[in-house]
Amino acid sequence: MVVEAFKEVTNSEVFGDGNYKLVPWISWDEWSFVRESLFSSSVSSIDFALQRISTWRSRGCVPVIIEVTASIVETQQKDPYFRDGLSGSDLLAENMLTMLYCMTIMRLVNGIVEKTRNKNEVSIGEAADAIGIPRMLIDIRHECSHRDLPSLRLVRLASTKALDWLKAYYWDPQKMAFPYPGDRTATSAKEIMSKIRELAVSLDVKQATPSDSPVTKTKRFKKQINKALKNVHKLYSSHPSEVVSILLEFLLKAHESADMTNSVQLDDWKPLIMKLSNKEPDMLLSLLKEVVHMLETARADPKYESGELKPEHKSGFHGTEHLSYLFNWLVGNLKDLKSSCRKIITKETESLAKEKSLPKSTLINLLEKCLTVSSVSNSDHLASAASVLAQMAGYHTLVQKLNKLASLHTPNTNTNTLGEVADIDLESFYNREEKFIEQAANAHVLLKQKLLKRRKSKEPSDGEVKRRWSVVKSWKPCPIGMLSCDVGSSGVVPCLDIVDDEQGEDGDEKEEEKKPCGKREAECPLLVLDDSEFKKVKCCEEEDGLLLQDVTNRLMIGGLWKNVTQDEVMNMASAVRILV
Amino acid sequence: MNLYFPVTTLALLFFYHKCSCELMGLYRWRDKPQMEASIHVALLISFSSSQHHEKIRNEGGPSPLALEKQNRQSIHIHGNLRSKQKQKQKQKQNKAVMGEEALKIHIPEQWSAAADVITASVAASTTFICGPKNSGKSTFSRHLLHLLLTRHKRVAYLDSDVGQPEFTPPGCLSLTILDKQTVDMKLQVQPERCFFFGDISSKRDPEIYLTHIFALYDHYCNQFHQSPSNNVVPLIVNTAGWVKGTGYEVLVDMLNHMSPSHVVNISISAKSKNLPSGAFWSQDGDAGAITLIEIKSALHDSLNRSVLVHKDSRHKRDDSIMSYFRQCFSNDMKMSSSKEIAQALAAHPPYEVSVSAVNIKHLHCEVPKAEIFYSLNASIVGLAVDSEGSGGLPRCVGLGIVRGVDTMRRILYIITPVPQNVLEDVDVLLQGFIQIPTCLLQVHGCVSPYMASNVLPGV
Repeated sequence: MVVEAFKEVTNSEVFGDGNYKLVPWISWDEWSFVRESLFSSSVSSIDFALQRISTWRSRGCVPVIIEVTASIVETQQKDPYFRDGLSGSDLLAENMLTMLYCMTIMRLVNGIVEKTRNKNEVSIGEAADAIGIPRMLIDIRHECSHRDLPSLRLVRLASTKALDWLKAYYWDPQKMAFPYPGDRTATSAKEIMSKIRELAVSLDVKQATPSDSPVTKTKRFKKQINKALKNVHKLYSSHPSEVVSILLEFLLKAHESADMTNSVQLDDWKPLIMKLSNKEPDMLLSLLKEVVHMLETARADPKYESGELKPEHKSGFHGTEHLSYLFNWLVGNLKDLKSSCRKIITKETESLAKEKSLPKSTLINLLEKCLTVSSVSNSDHLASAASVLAQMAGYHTLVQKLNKLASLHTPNTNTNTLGEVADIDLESFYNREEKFIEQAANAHVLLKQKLLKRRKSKEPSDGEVKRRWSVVKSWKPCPIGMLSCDVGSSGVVPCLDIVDDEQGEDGDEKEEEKKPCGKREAECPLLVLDDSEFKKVKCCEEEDGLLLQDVTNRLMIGGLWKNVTQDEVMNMASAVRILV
Repeated sequence: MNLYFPVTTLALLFFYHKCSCELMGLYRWRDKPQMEASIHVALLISFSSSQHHEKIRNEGGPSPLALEKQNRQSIHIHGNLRSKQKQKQKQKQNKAVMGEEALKIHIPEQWSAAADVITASVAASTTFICGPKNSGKSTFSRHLLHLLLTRHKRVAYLDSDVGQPEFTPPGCLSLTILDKQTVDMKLQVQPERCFFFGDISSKRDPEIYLTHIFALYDHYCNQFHQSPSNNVVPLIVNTAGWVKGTGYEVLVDMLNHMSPSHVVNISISAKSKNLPSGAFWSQDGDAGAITLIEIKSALHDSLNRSVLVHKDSRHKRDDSIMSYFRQCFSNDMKMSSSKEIAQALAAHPPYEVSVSAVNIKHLHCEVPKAEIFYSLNASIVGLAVDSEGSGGLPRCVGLGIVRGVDTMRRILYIITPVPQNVLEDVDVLLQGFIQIPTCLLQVHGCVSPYMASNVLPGV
């Protein structure tokens, strides 16, 4: 394990921060996928790779070496010698084909050699030798620019040599150069697992050690823990969602096995979580969101109790009770964190929200979800967590009501309405909704009227209801090229495919996040269901090929699914408060 | 007061004048002068003493700059620049007093003479300014603009230097109508008409480039050229520094289309880089009705030219783009470095627009239909309006950064300083090869996925 840790450190030192270069691909996964497709034997794969490279070209920063490789492959695709089944109309005249080859070879030699060559000092030939370009390519470049066009047989041969050289000079070394070759997510998940396990083990050891042990020993453990913490923190900055889900896994385990002897208690984790959260204030929120999501999934589809939650862990389903306990525990941590290191969070958020505490929208979001979940499970943990959250969000009236609610222990309109906005499985949501409508018909009618009134009063004043351009209402800072998400500082890598069944590597990554039962964060873009458009998200990674319909941002009003904005939901929430 | 600087100081000052002129050009269209290129600062330090004199000297005269707060750095520069123009004039009057060595800086006198010839013409003049890179075209244009504005209410400025335009961010071709107030107060000007060419040189598509230029020129002719004699709007045409090969042909085509009243051909000391002398644009070498003025670059050889001449134009463009997007924020916000701007932009709530509401087009290459978002994400686009009025060419209202694409909701997130009421008409997104400044992509803690850290060196 120590060796592993060492390796990790050197890895991130070599490939760590700095030395960033603008590239046209959104992730190394996309690059890898293109590489594999480009050199595959399948025509459709090659076509895909060529197409993607031409897209990269339109971004204007594609390395010349990639462009040249694509040109050679593309030319070979037009050559009946390399590709069978070219129909008559696709066939090029021999000299046209030769010219294509010549041009790509010329661009290869000039484009790549020029970069490495110090003009006036080294000849093209010498410079080419230095980087090992096959001599044949240099000769062809010379021949076709100054003398006769070389023969097709020669340039064909040269094209194969060129591809081999390109692979050896760029594609293969580049593949080795990024930190997680192969399936990045899987590898990193493993790595995160090992790091967190390290943390857990050191905790275990610490606990097992009697408190009266020599000071040096305790010190050593401290050191060990600190080191492990540092590693986890490092990983969090690069793979936040993975770290969160795996960390959660450990926390749950810790809690579930709490009654067994000789295991780490949940509260032992507390200082660690606090330490991590001090550095990454978003982490707690991410953890909370994850728990809520798990609760939702667990409740939405009871069948999952028997199934497995995550393919990587095989740990199965966690009882709602445990989850709610964990949620409450985490909220407690959040509260402590808030009081202990308010400054950090303030600093993080003041730029965008000018609020003096945690991002309110996130809190409200969590609160809503928490209430939704608690409306069904009726867990004390959740109820108390909700009241703490409400307190933090500054909803003092709501806190009072929640406290009353807790004492009454009955479903309440307040909870119901807030609950409507959460994203949960369509079917159970529908059923529950029906029940709620029965229960609180009056409230709903009133609400409907209010909403209608509001809409009516809005329409004439706004003039145009549908504006083509509008400013996004809430926005968390995120890198350009990513999508903002309400939790986590890193944003989400978007899926850029238009058609669902077309997939790039990053597309897969995204879909993984969409898994209803997965542990990854669910903050990927919410699916809005227009009247006209009904989009399904295909979870192709899921073995059972489950189809999931996301119901976020929709509300059933008068038996119809309507799109609602966050704003409208907030309006409704306030209206509800008046009603209660 | 201090007209007799040691010659070297004067020469350096002039050098600085040019430098600041050029930089001013870049920063003119933004009204946030806090952001400074490092060269500004460096020069400010080295010239602080002479500047001090300048400022004292300037106090008596009516300076439009008095309106601006004095604590801003670039105001010093601006003040400095203007006072040096005055100084130049005085210098002209006093040239007899100047010693033999001072001949070196008599070149601007040639410039003033040229500018005087142009301003003296009563009719609406069209001045075509051409010359190789860094010969001082923009500087001369600005000088001329100031002079013309003393005689005319408004002056039109057609900027065909698509890589480093004066009043717009890079990639745009524009016709701007300027009046004294906007120029003096350095107010941000909205171009009268603007097209997004989407590249930093005309080389990729000289035909379209010319179409745009001609459309701008025709627009000027229709709207401003025929105005009544008391309200004449002269035109200044600034050009790109590409004067060889296709660039030369483009210039010739432009000249033949416009047939300006004056052509100013600025030459530099490296003869092979200059445009041919004489009426190079006409078949028979006869300038005809066109007044040809040939002047030399203001920058003299005795100075170490490379400092400025080889200044990274990529850097200039990035700065220009950054200061354009700086306009997303109010003036009051303290933001001086591009790092801070990038940080603020990452947190800035963008506009959202439905994919179906806009027409997405790449100006210079074919993008596979299914991969359009792969191409568009995190790129700079021209925000354009497809209207009949501009001869089928969508007119550009500004630039935007596609900061995110939500394919599920089919929404684009776009950052732009263009106000919402103007934006409402925008129905075309034009993608080109205007590269997004990398500093925007590597905000601390917010590094864009397009910034890869493990790229093999030398590839």
